[in-house]
Parts: sequence; C-alpha cells; structure tokens
Amino acid sequence: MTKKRNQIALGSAVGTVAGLVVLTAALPASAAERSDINDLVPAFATNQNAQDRSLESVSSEAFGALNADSVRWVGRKGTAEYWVARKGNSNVCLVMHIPGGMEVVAVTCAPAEDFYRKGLSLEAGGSPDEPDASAEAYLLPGDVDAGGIVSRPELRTAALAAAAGDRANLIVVEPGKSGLSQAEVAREDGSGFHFVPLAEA
Amino acid sequence: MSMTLITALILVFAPVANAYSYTYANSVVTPENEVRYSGFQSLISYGYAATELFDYGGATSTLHVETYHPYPGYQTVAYASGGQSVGMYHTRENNAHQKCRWDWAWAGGNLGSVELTCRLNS
Repeated sequence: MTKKRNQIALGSAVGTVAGLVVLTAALPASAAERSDINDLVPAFATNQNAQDRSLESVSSEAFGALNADSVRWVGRKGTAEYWVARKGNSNVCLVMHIPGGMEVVAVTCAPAEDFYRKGLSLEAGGSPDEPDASAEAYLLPGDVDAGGIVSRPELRTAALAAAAGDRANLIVVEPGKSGLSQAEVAREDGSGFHFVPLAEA
Repeated sequence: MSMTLITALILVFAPVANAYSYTYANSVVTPENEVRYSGFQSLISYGYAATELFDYGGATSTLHVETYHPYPGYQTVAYASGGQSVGMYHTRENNAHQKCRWDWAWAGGNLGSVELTCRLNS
C-alpha cells in the first residue's frame, strides 16, 4: 500500500485517549478543521475540477445533498466509481456509483471526529447476490496504514486496494468475497486504528 | 391570457409532480436486526437509514436499507449498507417496498436498542 505523501502530523497527544478527545473537540473549529480534514482526506486539499463535479451528472440529487464545492472524485475500481465530499459543517462522506442496472448511488457520512476514529464503510448495489452489480469500499483517514489491512496473504482482493492513490485512503473490495477481517493497524503517529469491515452475507 | 393559464396550471399540478418523502421509522427505538418496513409504495427512488449517534467501545452501528419486491418472487431492487447513516439513490421503481435495519458489525455483544430513522423518497 502506498503511503501518502501528504500525511498528517497530529501530534503526540493523539496517542492517548485524552489527546483524542482534544482532537475531536478541535475538529469543528473552522480554520483548524479545514487543515485537519484536508490531511485526513488529501483530495479535499486539491482544486475542484470537472471530473470532481461529474457526480452532478450522475445524480443531481446526491450532488445537491452534499457541499457542492467539496465533492472530489477519487477513483474508479471494479464495478464502481467513487467520490468524497463534505456535508454540513463537519461530516465527511463517501459516495459510490454503480453504473448500469438500477444506477445505484450510495452515500455514507460521519462527523469528522467519528471518521477520524473509525473511517467510513459502504456497500451497495442492485443485489447482494450479484457481485458484478455491487461494490464495497472503505475510506480510511489518511494517517492509517491501509497496507496493514490489505497486504495480508489471505486476502483475495489486494489487487483492488489502494484504488485512489494519493487522493484518498480508499480500499475497494469485492462484496462478500473480500476476506477482510477486523484488524488493528498503525497510524502515522504510532497509535492504533481498529478496522472493522462490514459483515459478510 | 395563455401565460396566465399556463402559470395557473403549473401551480395546480406542480405539487402532484413533486417527489414525496415518507419516514417509515421516525426515531423508533429498535433492537439490532429488527426490520422496519415501509409497506407498499407506488414509487421509490431513494432510501435513507440512520441511527442516533452512539459509540460502543470505538465501534458503531451499520445501517442497511433495501428497496425490494416482496414474496412471492422476492427481488432486491437496490440495497446499501454503511456506518451510522446511509443513503441510496436508484432508478425509480414502481410498486415496490423498502425496509431498513441496523446491526453491530463486531462479533459478540448486545447493544440493546437504539433510535432508528428510515425514510424513502418517491
């Protein structure tokens, strides 16, 4: 897994519970929040381009429900295409579009402090029994070593990992076949991140 | 005159053309994996499910929402699963149902019940 060049330096205090509380409390603050969120999802730090706004043509409803200026395209892998976005004052969102069939666009969001602690998970499609019409992905904070999750030999989907390069810490797997399991992986500051995949059907 | 008539027609019929929203679970206290159902809907194009914010040992709920045609001949139209809140847009489907539930991805443990909200749009 490629380590991000633009990783965060959250400070040693984050390694403790007290530090985490300080961080989560600080995230909603305007200037500090912007900086921290951009580090957690590097795509937010880039200028928005036409491809980023392509979600609008896919689903104007989904696009309209998000902070339009924040939407960033982060990749196409397997059966789906992915964006990240902000919603409201502090929510981080992952968006996926599965073209064809029912043209499913799925969105999951979490407050920034929750995203920092747990990341985002999302699975969607036309039917859970049709892997070609469904997708499963995980957006992790930028300081989490996703390699610790996808590089283990028992995983069958490592080739689908790291779909987004430096724009986001995105893991894409085949629904129901990922072989992903809970894992304790390292953050850049040396603390741990507990990864929990969606339960397999 | 004709413009006035057109304007009047738009005002009269516009609400009919608008999508409606139906909240079939409104902060309903719901145990894990207990399913909430929308019942029959003539048109569905969106689903949303969310639980109240909670945190249990660092983990959180997973929400599941599904538009479907019921038995006989059960068929999933579209589904989505995600953490804490999930929304799902899909091609408009006639004469369908929707359901939602939440679960706890971590093995073991019983979280009890949380407030679940599920909504669909036509």
